[in-house]
Formats: sequence, structure tokens, C-alpha cells
Amino acid sequence: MKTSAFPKKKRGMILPAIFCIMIVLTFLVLAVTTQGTSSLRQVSHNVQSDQAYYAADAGLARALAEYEATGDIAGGASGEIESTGAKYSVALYSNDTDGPLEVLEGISIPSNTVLVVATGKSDSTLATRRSAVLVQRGLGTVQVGSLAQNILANNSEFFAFDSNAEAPGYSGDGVDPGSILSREAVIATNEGTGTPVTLNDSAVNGNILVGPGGDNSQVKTTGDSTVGQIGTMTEKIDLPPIEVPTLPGNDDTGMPPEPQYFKPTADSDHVSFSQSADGTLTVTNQCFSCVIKPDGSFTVSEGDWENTGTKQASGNIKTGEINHQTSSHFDIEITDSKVKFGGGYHGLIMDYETGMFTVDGPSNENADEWGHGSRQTYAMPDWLTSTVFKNPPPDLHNPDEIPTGYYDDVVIDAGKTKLPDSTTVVIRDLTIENGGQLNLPADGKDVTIYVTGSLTIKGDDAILNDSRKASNLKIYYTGTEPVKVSGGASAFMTLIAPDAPITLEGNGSTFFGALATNETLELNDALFYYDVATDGVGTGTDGTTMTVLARQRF
Amino acid sequence: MVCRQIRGVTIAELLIVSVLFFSLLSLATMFMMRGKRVSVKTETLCRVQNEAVKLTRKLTQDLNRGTMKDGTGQYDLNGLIFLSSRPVDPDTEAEIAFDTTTGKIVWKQWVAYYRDPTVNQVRRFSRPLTPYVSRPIEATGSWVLPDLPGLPPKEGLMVAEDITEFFPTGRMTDTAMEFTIRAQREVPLGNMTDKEKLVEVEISTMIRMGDGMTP
Repeated sequence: MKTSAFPKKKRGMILPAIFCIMIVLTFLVLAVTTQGTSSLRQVSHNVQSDQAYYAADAGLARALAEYEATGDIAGGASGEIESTGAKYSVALYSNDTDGPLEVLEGISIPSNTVLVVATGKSDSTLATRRSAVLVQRGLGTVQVGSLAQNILANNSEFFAFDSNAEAPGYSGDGVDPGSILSREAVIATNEGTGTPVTLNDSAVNGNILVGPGGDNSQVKTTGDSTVGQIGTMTEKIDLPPIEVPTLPGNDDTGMPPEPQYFKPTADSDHVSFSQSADGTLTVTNQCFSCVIKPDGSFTVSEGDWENTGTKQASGNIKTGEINHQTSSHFDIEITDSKVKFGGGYHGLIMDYETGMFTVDGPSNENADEWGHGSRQTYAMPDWLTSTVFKNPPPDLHNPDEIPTGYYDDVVIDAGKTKLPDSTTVVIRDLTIENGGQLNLPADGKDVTIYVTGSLTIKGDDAILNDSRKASNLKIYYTGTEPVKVSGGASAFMTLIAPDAPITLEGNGSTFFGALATNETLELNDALFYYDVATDGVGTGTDGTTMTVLARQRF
Repeated sequence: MVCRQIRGVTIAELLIVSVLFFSLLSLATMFMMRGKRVSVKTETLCRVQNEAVKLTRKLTQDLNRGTMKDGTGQYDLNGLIFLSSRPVDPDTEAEIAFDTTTGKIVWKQWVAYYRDPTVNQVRRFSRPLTPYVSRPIEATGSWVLPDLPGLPPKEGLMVAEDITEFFPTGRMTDTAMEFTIRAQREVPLGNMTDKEKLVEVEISTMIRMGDGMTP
């Protein structure tokens, strides 16, 4: 038998086995690679999205900083984040018009605002993200229509209009709609802390300025209240002191005064009265001194008493005007028949009705001081009575008109009392009520009323300014009694009452003009129309460069 | 020609080779099993992490355009409701809208996130505002938190699975709030203790609100 030296060749399984293993391995590698690539792509996308997003935010922050500093973003329009290579570009869309403006397709922004949109792109530009901010520019320097330390509005509304823009002969209710200025009502408070402005179901069709250091938190809105822009003043608005004028007339008749001297006791340290040849009366009592001139103006002073500080005041006994010039005040009371200057060591009361005057005793020891109740009463000599109470201002009751002059009590509770052109009147107590009307005719102008005692304006149309211009009728109130005003269809006036709280109220009460007080201004169911033609009650400068209204990433 | 005689193997040699072979085989099997465990566990961890990240990113994108001002925000351990400025119909509406009087953002829809504790899924629901408002306090038609479990799942968009917790921690600034998101899943392998089987990821992140978040 023939045999081979080698065994018969068998078919091997190695190749198919390796082939199968290779296929399996290939699938495995493919699966792992696919999964890895997918994960990597996802991670890469997330990273790039984040890079784009942070680039957009960085660009926006840089642009805002530049805009706040320079008012433009020229140098911040584009840039790159070095560490990631992401880029940003910033676009600025400004609305300088008086109304809303569509700055991008479908995107409208309000007046006086700027939309800043930053677009961030990742290094590979695969991801794009955007951040946008709507900022409001500062108000700049504006005229203030109403100023008060505290403003409280209940169900009321503030507007602005220009009386010079009313159609000639317009006589409709309220102001000519064509003269209304959108968003130009400006109310202001000097207070920069707390909550000086409260709006309950009220609207300010314009802006609010708060005192230095304040911000939006100083304005509280409740219910259905709206307000435009809130700015912060760089400086407070100081109301200038009201100087009640000296008017000629009432006391310029009669015999010229003669020099006089009177001392009720022989004590050298007791009070003395002397009148000079020009009619000036000087009262001296140790450190107390009072000088009263023929026109009624006076100055009074006293030294420091019990460390309360010296006292000084001035005013007018005919008009009732009182100006305290030191932090320590005299107790001063002025009526048409009585004058009282109450100090610490000394005091003086002169009473026309009784013909007597009251002073402290001839010493300033504790028990004899005015501040501790020391009183002595003496009869006034005739010359003293006539000097102090000479030609007192008259009272008026429903007069046809009020010409220039001093008046004591003026009551208008029926009919119309006309104010002639270019009139300046000084009234101690002015009351308009029960349907009485103080009327400035259509062609009237330049009327100024100073009220020193109390001021009451009640009833619809109590102020009837037919000229329809608030600048033609100014009322200055120097007293401290609360002033309540019921406005009306023709209540066009400027009211300045630095030391008195003012309330506008009454169903549908409407006031046209400008208002100012260092106290509280309260509106109850009232409408206040600031007449820009009055130039307001002061100028306020908003120190805010810009305020962020809204911010979004998208 | 003389064939070379083939030598046999002794029993001892066979035993040694067998021992070595089976040792190597068991070692390989052990490594393979361990590798598989690690691989499956890693894959599960990736998946869990991915779900947590997905929820975080989606939530961030939404809250970047949201607000909870004036009491419009609601949240508890399983739900979150807020106002969103996203356009209801992106084809016809601009991406962003402002009140042309006040400059405030216009809010267009309610958005809710709800975690169904029975399946650990988080879904996103939305409901258009009628009308749109710029003052959050005027927004009407919101859900309340007890409504969320009753919302048909089909109406919501599935955001993430395996989420066991998702809630605001209560830590917040004027513009942002902190969220904690926990995702958990069991590794699909036997022969492991329950503790070993559980894979958990926790993410705590401050998320900025588009326009304030004071609830």
C-alpha cells in the first residue's frame, strides 16, 4: 500500500473564525465609535452653546458699560473671548421719538429707550446665542410740575398740557385735547429715603423724580397704578422763600408821626417803647428787641434762653406774615387786634380791644421770666395803640373785585369776585366756599395773591380763571395751616405753599397749573394737569444715566 | 525513509497545561465579566447624567425667559410653574416683545414642569396667556400645583427620564435661584447588591431668571 509521507490536508477553521471575529470586532468598534462620536458631538454642542452664550453676555456687559460711560457703544460693538475664541457683536437700537418705535421686525420699544442686542457665536460658529437688554436713558434736566416732600395719590391722575397750545377760544371741558403732552407730567420729591411717593390706583402720565440717593423703591404703587420713568435728582429742589411785598396805600394818610417814649415802670431793666420821627417803633427789654415799621413789617430777637438758642423772626403785623429765622422759635400770634411775641426771658402782648399790653416783670430771674409765666399788664398810651394798630387791613365779604392792597379776612361765599389785571393782594385769611368764585376774566393777567393766615378753596369752580393760563394767577401761601383745594373746570393757577400740606380732593376735582410744598401733597379722586407754560415750580436733574427695564437671553 | 516518532504527552504535562489553560480562561472570564460590569455601569451612569443634564439645560433655557414675580411662580418637590416670554407661535411672533409704554417684557405663556413620581419622568407643559401681559400680576389662567398630576402626559413634552428629585433649594438672589436635580437608574445586571446597582447623579446649579424670580 502506497502511503504518503504527510497526513492528508484537512480544511482549516482558522480563516472563517478570524473573519467572524473581525466582523464582530468591527461592529463593536463601530458601535463604540458611533456612541462616542454622538456623545462627543452632544458635549461639543453644549460647550459651544455655552461659549456662545457667555460671549453674548460678555459683549452685552461691555457694551452696557461703554454706553453708560459714553452714551454710545462704538468701541464695544464687537469682540472676541480670547480663551475660547468665541466672538460677539452688539447692536444698538434707539428710540428717540415721542412714541413707540419698531426697531427690529416685530419688536417695538418705548420712547426714550435703547435696545441693546448682543449676539455670541462659538469659535466654530456652530452655536449662536443672544442676550438683549432694554435700557431707559435718564431724564436729564426737566421742569417739575408739582413738588412735595411726600406725595400720596388715591384714585387720581397726573397729566401735562401746554396752555399756549390750546386752540384759541377753546371752551370745552378740561383742556384742549390737542394741548395734552404725553408722558411729560413731572412730579418730584426731595426725599431720597423711605416711601415718599405712594400711588393707589393712580397714574402718572409722565415721570417721577425722587431726592438724591433715592431710586425706584421710593415710589410705591398699589392696585391699578402706573408711572412712566423714575429718576433720581442730583440735587434737591429748593423752593425760594416767599417775600410778601410791601404795598403802598392804607397807612400813608394822617399826621406825620412824632418821636415818643414810654416806660411803664422806673426799673432800668424793664421794657421801654420809643417811636422815631419816621414812625418806627422800637421795643427794648434787656436782650429782647422788637422793631415795627409803619408799613407793619417787624423784626424781633432775643438772647439764648435755657440753652434753646437765640431767637430771631421777622414778618408783618398787617399781613400776618411770620418768618422764623432761627431753629428756636418765638411764640408769635398776629390778628387784626392783637400782637403777641412770646420769647423765653421776655414777651410782649399788645391788645387793641382792651387797650392794654402785657410784659414780663423788671427782672429775668427764673420766677420773673416770660417763659416761666411772669406777666404784668399795663395800659397802652394812645400813641402806641395808634402806631401798632393804625389803619388795619379791611375785611371783605363777597366784594365785586379785589384791587391791589392789604386785606384781613376775605370771604367769598356767593357770586363772582373779579381780580383786576396786574393785581397784587396780600390777604391774611382767604376763604372761597359755598359757590363763591374768585374770577380772573378771559383777558386777565398778572395776578398774584399772597395769603399769610389760612387758605380755603372749596366747591366746584371756586377758582374761575377764564384766561385758562395758570401763569396768570399765582397764589403764594406762607402759613402752615393745611390747604384743601377743590378744583374745577377752570382752576388754572400756580399754588406755592412751602410750609403747608396741600390736598386736592372732591369728586372729579381738577387742577390745572403747578403746585409746590415742602410738606405733603395729597390727591383724592383728583386730576392734576401740569401746565408746562408755567415753567413749573423748579428744575430737577436726573443723575441716572440709564436704567435697565428688561433683560432676556434667547 | 523513517518517520520521526511522535512523542506523547505525559499525564503530568496534560494536567499542568490544563491547569494553566483553565486558570487563564477563568481569569479572562473574570476580567470580561468585570469589564462588562464596568462598561454597563458606566453606560448607565452616562445615561443618567445625560438625563440630568438635559433637564438642567432645558430648565435653564426656559427660566432664562421666565419670571416668578408678583406671586406668579409656584413650586414644590415635583412641580414648577412660571411665566415665560417665549412666543406661542414662533413663525408669526417676534422672539421677544416689550410693553411699548413701560418697556417691560411681555409675558406670553405659562410653563410648567412636572415630575411624575411613578415613572420618574419630567414633562414640560405650556399654556398661552390670553391676553399677553407685561405686568405679571395681571396674568390669569395659571395652573395650580395640584393640577399638574392630572395633566394628560400626551399634552406635555418629555424632557428627561430617571429624575428622582428636582426642586428649588430655596437659595436665591434677586435674579437667580438654585435648583437641585437628582437622576437615578438601576444598572441592568444581576449578581449585584441593590446599593451597587443604583447609579445616581446630582446637579446643583444657580439658574438665572429672565426677569426676576422673587416668588
